This record gives sequence, C-alpha cells and structure tokens, in this order.
Amino acid sequence: MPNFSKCRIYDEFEQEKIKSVVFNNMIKENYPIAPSATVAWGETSTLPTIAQEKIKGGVCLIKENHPEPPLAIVEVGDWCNLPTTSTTARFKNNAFVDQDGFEILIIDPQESRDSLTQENLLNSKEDQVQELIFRIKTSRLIPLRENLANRLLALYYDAKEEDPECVGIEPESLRSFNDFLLLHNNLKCPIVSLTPDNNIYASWRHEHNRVFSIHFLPNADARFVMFKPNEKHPERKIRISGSATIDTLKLEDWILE
Amino acid sequence: MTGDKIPDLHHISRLCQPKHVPDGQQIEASAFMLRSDESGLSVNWLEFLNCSNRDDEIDEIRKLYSLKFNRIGAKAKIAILNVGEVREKVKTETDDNRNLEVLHEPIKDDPPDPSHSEIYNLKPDQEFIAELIRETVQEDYPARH
Repeated sequence: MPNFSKCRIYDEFEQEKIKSVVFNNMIKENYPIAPSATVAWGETSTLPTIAQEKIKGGVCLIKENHPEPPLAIVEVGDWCNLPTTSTTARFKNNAFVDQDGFEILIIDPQESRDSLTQENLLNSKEDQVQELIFRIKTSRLIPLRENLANRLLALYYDAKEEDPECVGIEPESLRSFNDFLLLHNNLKCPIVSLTPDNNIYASWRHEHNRVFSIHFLPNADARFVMFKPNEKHPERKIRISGSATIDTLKLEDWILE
Repeated sequence: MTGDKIPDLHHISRLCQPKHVPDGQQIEASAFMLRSDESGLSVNWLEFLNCSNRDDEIDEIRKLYSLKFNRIGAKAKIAILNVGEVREKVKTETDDNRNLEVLHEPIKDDPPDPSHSEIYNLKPDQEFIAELIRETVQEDYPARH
C-alpha cells in the first residue's frame, strides 16, 4: 500500500474517470485505483489500523496542516459512477477532522453535487496553484504539458523556499497562463520564471536577439515585450511593449511550432 | 550618503533568486522587476565595499546576503551590472528616453547594509525596462558558496 503525506484524487474534467494522483506534490499518473475506497492515517507500520473509513462513489481531497504529518492512505472506489464534471459538493467527516491536524473533506456527489464548485473545495491559494499545475499536467490540449507542469512545480518550490509564507505562484496569474496555453496549442516551449510578485513571466528567446515575453497579470491582462531585428535597418532593432487580454495577444510566428 | 548618485563607471550587484533563474543558468528579466509595493530595485554598490578585486566583492556580497535573507536558494545568482551601461541602454532604447537613477540608499540596521542602493524609474513599462537591463548583465556568480 503506498504512503501519502498529501494526496488528492481527481476526476479528469469532462472526459475521464479518476486515474491520477498527486502525491507529495509530485504528479503520478495511472495510479491503480482500488475498487473500494479507504481513507486512513497513522504511523507507517500501523496503517490502516488507526483510522479507516469507506468512501462511496466520490472524489476525495485530503488536506493536512501538520508540519510533519503522519502518513495518509487514500484509495477511491466506485469511480465508474463519478460525475462527468469535477463540480461537486462536499462535507466534512467530523470523525477525521481533529486527529493529528488532518482535515479530510469527503465529497459526496450523489447528495448535492450542484451546490458547490471545484474552487469552493480549494481551501487556499496554494491548493488552487497545485490544482492548476495538475490541470496543465493532464490537459491533452497542451502539448508541452509535461515540461511546463514540471517547470511550474519547480518554480513553486523555488518561491516557497525563498519565502515559505508566500503563495508560491499567484493563482490568478497561473490561471491566465493556463488559459493562454489552451488558446495556443502550437507554442514552442517558453522559459518560465516568476516575477517578484510571483506572477508567471514567460519568455521565448531566439537567435538574432529575438525576444517575446509575456507577464501574466492576476487580472487576466497580460503585458508583453517584443524585441526583434529590423530587417530594413539591420543596425536597429524593433522594440515593442504593451498590454492586452490574453485572448487578443498577437503572437510572433517564431514562437510557434 | 543617502541619495547620492552612483558614478556611471561603478558597478552594482543584484540578487537573482532561483525563481528568476529557471534553468539554473540564464537570469531572466523578471529578476529586474519590482514588487507591487516597491519603488526601487534593490542592488548593492560594489565599489563602496572598497575591496581590491571582484572576487572579494562577491565574497562580501555573499556574506551580506547570508545575513539579510532567510534562505538563498542553490540556484540563486548575483548579477553584475555597470551603472553607466544600464542607464545609457535604457535611455537610448526607450521612447521616453527613460532616465534611470541609481542612488545609494544605505540601510543602517537589521542587518546593516551600507552598500545598499536602488534603481529608480523602472515604472511604467517595467517589463520592457527589465528586458533591457537583462541585456546589460556583464557577469554572474552563484549567490552562495
């Protein structure tokens, strides 16, 4: 049985059943899902004897606040009956809340799936960030998903290392970046860094000092910079900057595949 | 003294955290952008340290950073810039002939940072200015030993 200190199991949006697990913030795909659901935690050697509960037909999310939490094990069952979207309701199973700093949210889509959204589930901006990275990681519409998700995860940890109190990546900026990636499925892989406010800053750099950079602001706007050679005047450069909504950004051909 | 202009021939260093050095090699323009609550870009005036060579200056800067910041990531870098080159580049390549000011702003305590300085006038259009500054980075060093 695998060991988890932080784990989520998701359905994959509108098309697929649960098949992936986020484990210690590392995304693992194709985790085998057991036919019945169990949530438990305790010491390594005693699991699952300390606590155990069945979940029926739902998605579960475990959040732990303990700095060095005991292990948690999650499996999920009845997954063939999951709703086709990830919008579900939730309730707290009080039997689990007070033990070792864990808060466990168990979603019961059969009871009230329309009353809450997925975002309601996310108790903090950090949860939103990890959720968004996971979306990028698993979206078939983003050809660069693997590279970008790994890169974003590394940036998240870089930012947290610099300031453990910060959000890691500004979630609304990351959301804009995700939307941008979904709009353009033929992008070359950008260099992604974070601004001092932890917004996404994506750059494409090419020979002859070509630069195209986009700062994804939290308000869904983007600020862009473009440097490129002036073909009519080789000693000069064309330098342009401005702002736009992400759906109206005019991209340079050389940043596309 | 506070507010003194740093001579164009002198040099400044900028700490570039790992989130600004995504591949561990190349410093990105995001390293030269401001937080929303900042008015100036924090740098250190290298000649003020009165060292005999660049290596000693970098050692001094590393010592300072280790006191000043809780954590310096393994990929963090120190970017070295020439004041005059930065100012000239930005002035000549911006539509508004942007006049960056590089001023000595020493910090007295917690911890003392006597060589602390700031670059002002990065806004508006700081992404554009940051990309220009990035092009003037003369050299870089690991921010920790």
